[in-house]
Amino acid sequence: MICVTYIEADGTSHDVHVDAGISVMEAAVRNNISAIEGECGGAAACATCHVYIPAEWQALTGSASEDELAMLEFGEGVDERSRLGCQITITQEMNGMTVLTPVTQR
Amino acid sequence: MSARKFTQIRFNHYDPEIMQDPYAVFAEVRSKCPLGHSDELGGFFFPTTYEGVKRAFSDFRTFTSTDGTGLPRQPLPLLPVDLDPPVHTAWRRTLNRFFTVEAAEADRERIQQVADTLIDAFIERGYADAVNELTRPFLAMSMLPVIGVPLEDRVELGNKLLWLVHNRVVDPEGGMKVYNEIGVYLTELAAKRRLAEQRDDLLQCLITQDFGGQKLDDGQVYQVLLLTLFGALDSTSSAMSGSLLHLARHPEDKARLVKGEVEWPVALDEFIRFTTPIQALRRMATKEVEIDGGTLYPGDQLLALNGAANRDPAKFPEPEKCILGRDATDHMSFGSGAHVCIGRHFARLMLGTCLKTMLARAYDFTVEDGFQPEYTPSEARAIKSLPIRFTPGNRVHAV
Ligand code: HEM
Ligand code: FES
Repeated sequence: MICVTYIEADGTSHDVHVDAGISVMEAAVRNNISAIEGECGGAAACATCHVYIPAEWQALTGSASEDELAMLEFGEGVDERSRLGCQITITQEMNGMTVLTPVTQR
Repeated sequence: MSARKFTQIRFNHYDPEIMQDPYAVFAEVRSKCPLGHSDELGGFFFPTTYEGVKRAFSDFRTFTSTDGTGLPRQPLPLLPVDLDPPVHTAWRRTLNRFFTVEAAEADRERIQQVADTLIDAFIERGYADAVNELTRPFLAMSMLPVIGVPLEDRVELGNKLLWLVHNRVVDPEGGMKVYNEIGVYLTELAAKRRLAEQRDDLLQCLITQDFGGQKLDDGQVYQVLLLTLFGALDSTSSAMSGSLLHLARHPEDKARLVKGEVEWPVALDEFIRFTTPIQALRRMATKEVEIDGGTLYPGDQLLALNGAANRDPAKFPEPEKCILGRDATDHMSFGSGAHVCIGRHFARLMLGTCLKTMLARAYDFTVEDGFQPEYTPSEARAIKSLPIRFTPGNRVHAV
């Protein structure tokens, strides 16, 4: 199992243990982390799975495609660390990764 | 061009006979080449696997909504359902506020009152038509205030909408007439509200807010209101009547629910999967794409069949059975992707309230042995009438 830590804007932190192959959005939704909504089910079509990936993990997560950037325009508090959680597939190498969530998804 | 692969079959969601059991058609297609094709309604393709249907709903770049989502085409676009992201996303993020879990929860008490008032009207009698006396008025009474339509217009508007959903294809001329009547009514409603005191409902939002940087005109307000009415009324009442029929025939499931052996949220997902109130939404292919063993080309019409996904045995074993307790969270009844039903939290709350209140107040409700439900055809498949009997009980509100 791979451990990913989600840290909410108020500092609340959740460790989740998941198998490789699911997305950062799915891992959060399945573990009831409500700071990530994932309304469109991972179609990159709602921007309610906005997350921040710390610089040290970005080499593994890669960067947002143009379509993803277009959807991120709808996120709140978007900056250079912003990604759509549904567009990042969790791999074995991401064991120990930290993901930050924004103040709001709406 | 080499021969195209698909299973040719006669399917039409407006055919009253086929829609008594559309699942038989889907199963036949799924067992051959799972991409179906029908020559009806101008000709269209339809995937029948869970994955195929889910892709049709999710991949908006390949399967666009901008050509319209009704088959046959509605006389005017409905908003925001006939838009693709990112234009759609701006609309949706503005509208979402009225439909969140929190918004639905805040309405729980009022919705409970609607349930009790309707049940009061027949509880002393010991019998009722659960569709015409409970589930259909339940929806109109619960949802019209959320949308901003005065409750006194409920019966007339509700009947017109119902007529339109089910008859626009068999009687196009009558359909246009009713369409126009509803159009005049809703457009006037919007115009009147511009001059009236502000209130916190969907109609006010449509009038006051910017959508993609612009205010809506009365016509656009009407296009959203009409969609929300189409989306809200028949669908949830169909989930209610279908679930009530299941419970009437399966007293053991009533007992499991009341004893808490099955959790309500889990049961609600299965009821919504099993009843699949909305059956068909259209998309148009924008590029060449493989789906369910066949190939689509740009311009091909595609029907996304919620019920085909929900009855795929590879996804839901023994899909024709309503198995309370199974994990049905992935059901396709609310669609998927950008347009996933915005009203789903309200729908779940209303369905839960309706069923819990019936179990609390008329626990032993039954249908006659051998009762055969008749289903309405169209996008919205619903039981037309559900006669139930139960031990008479007391009103909770005085007359
Ligand atoms: C069990 C009940 C319901 C079912 C099965 C259902 C089903 C659906 C489906 C399948 C869609 C997707 C349309 C598409 O992909 O083109 C949808 C969208 C929609 N539904 Fe529902 N619905 C239900 C209840 C409601 C309620 C209660 C409301 C209103 C409060 C509502 C309002 C809407 C609206 C406005 C949309 C369009 C959303 C968009 O385009 O972004 N629905 N519904
Ligand atoms: S879940 Fe909708 S954009 Fe990621």
